[in-house]
Amino acid sequence: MKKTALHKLVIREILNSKARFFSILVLILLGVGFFVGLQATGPNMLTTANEYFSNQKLYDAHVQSTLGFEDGELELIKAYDHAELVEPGYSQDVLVGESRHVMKLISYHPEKQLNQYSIESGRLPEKSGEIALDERDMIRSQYEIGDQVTLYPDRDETDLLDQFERTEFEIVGFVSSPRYFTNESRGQTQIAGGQLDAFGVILEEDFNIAVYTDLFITFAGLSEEDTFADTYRDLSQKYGTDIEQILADYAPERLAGIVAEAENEIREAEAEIAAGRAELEDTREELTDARIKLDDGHEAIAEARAEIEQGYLELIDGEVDYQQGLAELKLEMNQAEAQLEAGRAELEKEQEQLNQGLAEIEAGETELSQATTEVERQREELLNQQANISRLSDVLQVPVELIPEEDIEWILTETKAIKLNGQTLADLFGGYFSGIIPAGQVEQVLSQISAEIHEGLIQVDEAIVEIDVQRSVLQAGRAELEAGQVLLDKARAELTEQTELLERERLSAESKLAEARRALDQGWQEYNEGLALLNEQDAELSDAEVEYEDGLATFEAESADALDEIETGEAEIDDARAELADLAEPTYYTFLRTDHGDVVQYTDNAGLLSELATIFPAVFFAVAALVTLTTITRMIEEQRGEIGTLKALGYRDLEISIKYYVYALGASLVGTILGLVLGYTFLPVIIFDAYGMMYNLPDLMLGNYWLYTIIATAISMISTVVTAWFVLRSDLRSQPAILMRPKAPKIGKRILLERMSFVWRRLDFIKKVTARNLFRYKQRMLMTIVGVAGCAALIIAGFGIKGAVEGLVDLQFGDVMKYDALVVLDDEANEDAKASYQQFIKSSAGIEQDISILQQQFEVSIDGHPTQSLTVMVPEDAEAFSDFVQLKDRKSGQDYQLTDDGAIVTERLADLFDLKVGDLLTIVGSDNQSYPIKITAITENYTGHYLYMTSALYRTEIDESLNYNAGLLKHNQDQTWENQFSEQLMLEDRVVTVSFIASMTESFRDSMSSLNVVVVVLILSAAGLAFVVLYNLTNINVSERIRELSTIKVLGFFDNEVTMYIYRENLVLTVMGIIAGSIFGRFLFSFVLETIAMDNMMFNPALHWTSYLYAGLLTLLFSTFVMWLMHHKLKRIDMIEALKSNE
Amino acid sequence: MSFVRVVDEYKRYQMGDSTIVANNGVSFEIEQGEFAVILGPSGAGKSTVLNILGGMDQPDEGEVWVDGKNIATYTTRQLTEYRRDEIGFVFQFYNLVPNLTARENLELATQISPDALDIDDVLDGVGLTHRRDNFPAQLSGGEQQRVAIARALAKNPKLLLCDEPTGALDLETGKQILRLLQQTAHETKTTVIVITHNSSIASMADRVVYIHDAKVREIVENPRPRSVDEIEW
Ligand SMILES: Nc1ncnc2c1ncn2[C@@H]1O[C@H](COP(=O)(O)OP(=O)(O)OP(=O)(O)O)[C@@H](O)[C@H]1O
Ligand SMILES: [Mg+2]
Repeated sequence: MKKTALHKLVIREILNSKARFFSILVLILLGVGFFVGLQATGPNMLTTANEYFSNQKLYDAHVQSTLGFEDGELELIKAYDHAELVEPGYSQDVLVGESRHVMKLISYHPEKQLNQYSIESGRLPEKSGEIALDERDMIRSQYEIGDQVTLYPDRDETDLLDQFERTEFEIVGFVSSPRYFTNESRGQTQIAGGQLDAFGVILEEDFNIAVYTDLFITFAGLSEEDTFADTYRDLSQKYGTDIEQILADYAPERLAGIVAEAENEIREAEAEIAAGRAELEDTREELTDARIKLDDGHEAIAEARAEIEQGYLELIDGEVDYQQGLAELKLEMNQAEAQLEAGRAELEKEQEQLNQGLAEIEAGETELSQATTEVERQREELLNQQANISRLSDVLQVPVELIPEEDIEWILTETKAIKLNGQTLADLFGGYFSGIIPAGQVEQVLSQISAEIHEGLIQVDEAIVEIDVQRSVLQAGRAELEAGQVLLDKARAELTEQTELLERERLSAESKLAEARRALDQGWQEYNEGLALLNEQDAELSDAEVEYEDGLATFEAESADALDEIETGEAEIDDARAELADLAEPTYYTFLRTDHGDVVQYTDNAGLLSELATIFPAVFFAVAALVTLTTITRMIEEQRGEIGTLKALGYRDLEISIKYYVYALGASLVGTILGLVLGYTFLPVIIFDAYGMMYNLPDLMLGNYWLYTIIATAISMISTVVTAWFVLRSDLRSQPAILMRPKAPKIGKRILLERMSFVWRRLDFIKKVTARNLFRYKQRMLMTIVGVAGCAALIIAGFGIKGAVEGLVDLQFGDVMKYDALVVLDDEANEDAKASYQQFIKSSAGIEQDISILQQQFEVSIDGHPTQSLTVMVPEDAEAFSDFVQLKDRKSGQDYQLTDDGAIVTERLADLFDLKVGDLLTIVGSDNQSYPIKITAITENYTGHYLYMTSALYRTEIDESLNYNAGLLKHNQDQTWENQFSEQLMLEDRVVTVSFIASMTESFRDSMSSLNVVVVVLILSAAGLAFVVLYNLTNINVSERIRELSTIKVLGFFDNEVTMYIYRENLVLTVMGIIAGSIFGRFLFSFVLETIAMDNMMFNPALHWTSYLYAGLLTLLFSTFVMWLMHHKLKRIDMIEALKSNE
Repeated sequence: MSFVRVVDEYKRYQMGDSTIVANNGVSFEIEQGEFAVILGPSGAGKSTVLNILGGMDQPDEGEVWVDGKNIATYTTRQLTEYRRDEIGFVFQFYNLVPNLTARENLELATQISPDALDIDDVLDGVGLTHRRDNFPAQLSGGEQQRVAIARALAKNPKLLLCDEPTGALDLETGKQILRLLQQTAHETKTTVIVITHNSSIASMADRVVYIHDAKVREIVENPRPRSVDEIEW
């Protein structure tokens, strides 16, 4: 059976009503796409994160302890059945760089597997002194690879080298960590402002911490599980509890170990101190001994000196004695000698006299001998001369000429000495020889001479007799003398004997003296030696004294230090002991992956999306489905005649209806498929990209979800094919005749308005027509209103949420927090630092007002609610406080003042815990103490929970000692000023950090902007839907009333009048839709706010009027746009065609 | 110069490959205040001529002079203005706005007409004062057609064009309508052109234009038109 005509009918139907076909298609597409896209985004985000966690091997549990970890814990956990990997590590929060970013430095070890970093640029540290930084924008924008950064302690007294091996690092890269995959927060810290800015990665070896600070654990079998699924949650919770139990059980042992070790250490320290003390004592004693010895030495030397002095005196005495002895001896000897000498002298004298006598005798004898000799010689000479004269007288007998020459010579020489009468015999002989003197004269002279020689010879004989007489006299004298000599010799012998005796005496005395001398000399030598020794010893002692003085000085100086040290040591020991006494068992904190703030936040965000994804697309899809349904219904109703005709021609029901099914199925199937494809791919990516600013996650992993696909397909089928079936069913039951008969034109009716003639009369004709028309097509009217209302509601809710989120920022940071900066102060700063700070604030020109406050964290937990953290703020000046923080009832606008009666709590907390004025709110401090505080008022606030109270109340209810630890500032300057001010402010010792509301506003706004994207997607989709709905309904309207329109066209209505004829109705319907939508939107908004509400954040439930305005304007805009399109369509209406036939 | 003068007017419809010539050089003239009838077999091109005269369509060629103006050269807007100010149109199927009462249907027309007549007078004129607040669905076909004519007349048009106004009506009602139209032409100086299949109506007309096969075959002037009552159907 060929049914070409029928096939043609289908195609012609689609071609003839392209707009309708496409509007159904687009409606379905939008509905399906929006539905599945939004539905899938949440799950997609979770899948992506889960994949990321498993790739980076994010821990399943992270354990921290109040006392760190040692091998004991490590072994225990490793031994736990379900533990897969257990990796210890270090971390320490510290200030980094010139900007003093608060960073958590985390140890890195290339062989460790958990919490792997993704390198964004550069690399991870490879050697000591290298650091990789968080790739977060605020860090990334300030540092470059290759920069040096310095670590700074949070407090001046902290020595960083107790925590790190070094404080200088070179940046080698920027990384992201699965532990910190949000971009907005790095969590809390104990230091500085309490907020971490970033993390940094350094090698494990650069840490100098005794115990591990962190323990990361993965559990066996969990890596395959979906982090966000219940299985994972349950298992990890179970294992986590086990770990907690194991560690809790171990805690006493650990404490005991620590206590033992500490006690050991204390003992050692004590011993050391004791040793130190002993050493000090020893040294002191030694010094005392040395003193004594020195004093002894001094004494001994004095004694020795005295002794030596004595010896000296004795020696001097000895010397005197000796000299005396020597003198006496000399004297004695001299006397004796003198006597002896005298004796000897007398003896000598006598001897001399004797000798003289003897000599005189001898002289006489000699003289006698001589005289004898002389006489003899004279005799001989006289004899000789007689002989010579006899010879010479002979010579004269010989003639002169016969004497030999030699005889002449000899005669001349011999005769020269003989003188006579003045002439020498030689002259006479000379003269003779020479013949002058005659031999007679010479004989006369020689006879004269021989006469004289004879006389001389008589005389000589006389002398010889005389000499003999004399000799006998001399002989007598000699005898006499010789007797004297014997006497004398006898005396001499006596004297000699005496001299010898004396000599013996002298010798003996002298030897005695020499003995004494020797003894003395020895004494002197001994004395000198002794003195030298003494001096030497004295010198030595002086040296020793100097040494002692030095030693003493050193000791005194050092002992003070040593004592100080010992005292510090003792104090330390006392502290340690006190600490040890206070030391509780370690508390172990097990954080599961699912507890991780970022994970929770991410899950919340995904959840938020899913929440939005349930209600928004539901409304959205409902509108789309409803409009589709209407369209299909209208289409079939328009074609009653054709159906009747075909039926009359004998076509079977299915053959007739197939056209509509194909048409409906075509539009919905194509729409559904496109919707599924686009919805699953684009929407999640768009939304996730917005979240991408918040998270450093890899690209979104797209997935499709059968449930959503089936729901979406089912709804689109119901609104098209099933609707077609339903409408057709009743039509096909009718007789063809009935069908073919034109459906009786709708009877015009008077509308309610007409009965109110005072109004009706006032309307001009066209308005009456519009009014009448509106009520004539009730179904369409309702559809339009519902459709527009739905879209408007979506837009309103969208803008509402956007406004609530943005409004939250403005309200919180503009109205509620009226201050401009929060300065966190060191509550332990000294007075100077405080004064300097005050001075600085006072002198800063831009500061308008400032106030000191105490900021303290507490927790509130009430059964059945998650624990909330709460900030207690105590202003120094309660009256001025309202200049800094708005205290006001949100609804009534009533202002509050802080009083000593009770505290003012913020609204969200009051809501959460159902607090009323007058209730007691129990807050728990970090010391686990509970403090019930009376609530006197509930104030407007949007983020966080605060409790404001006066200092008096704080002192009575919480803590007597109150130390203001923060300051709030108000200024009237711009950002540039803030930056400068901040720099100067940070130079103040008392200032820990400063945060400006302006930048907080910015970052908060940023973090909220992702939600905005969702909302924008929502608004755009809703607007798109509004457009399609309006277009579709208008289209239906126009095609339904084409005759009417043609008629008025023929009547001469201008194009725009024709358009307005329809548009006026649409406008009214749109406005009504907007009004209905506003009401619906208000509820939708509240409902959505409820679902997305966070515990510590209150969205302003007031829906800002601009949301309505925007929704209204957008809807009107689309309605106008639709009308503009319709206008063109209407212009092209063939009035002749339309009016030619009867319907 | 005649009030209506169609000169060599052509209208062709392109239907795929073939061209249907609906009017093939149509020329005729009608004087002001005449009651003219266009006669011709189905498909001859009568409605085409009338639509062109009514400013609802434009000829492909030729001149169409109405009241001294060649509307063949008019723009869409001028045509609309022309329809608005000078034309009254009555259809075979009344084409009343179902959601408006009889009076309101008239009002719809007079709203936009510069020198509209008093609605109630016009309604009175068509004898429907008592039904003026009825909706079309509450009126008989004849009554509806009278409302339609009243609507056309209320605008006080210079040219009243009626395409088979009696086609869907019984004889008596048809006569009533025709009487109304003839009266209008003769009493208000409105030029009335009526298309009909019924050649007996032709005797009522001041002028009859015979159109056959897209051409004007004959134009007959009738110096003494009969009244409706004189006509034998
Ligand atoms: N819009 C159109 N498209 C195509 N052809 C058309 C169109 N309008 C009219 N025609 C053709 O032009 C010719 C003349 O049509 P028209 O309606 O003028 O005839 P008529 O004389 O009014 O006939 P009837 O008495 O049946 O109303 C016809 O053959 C018709 O098929
Ligand atoms: Mg016709």
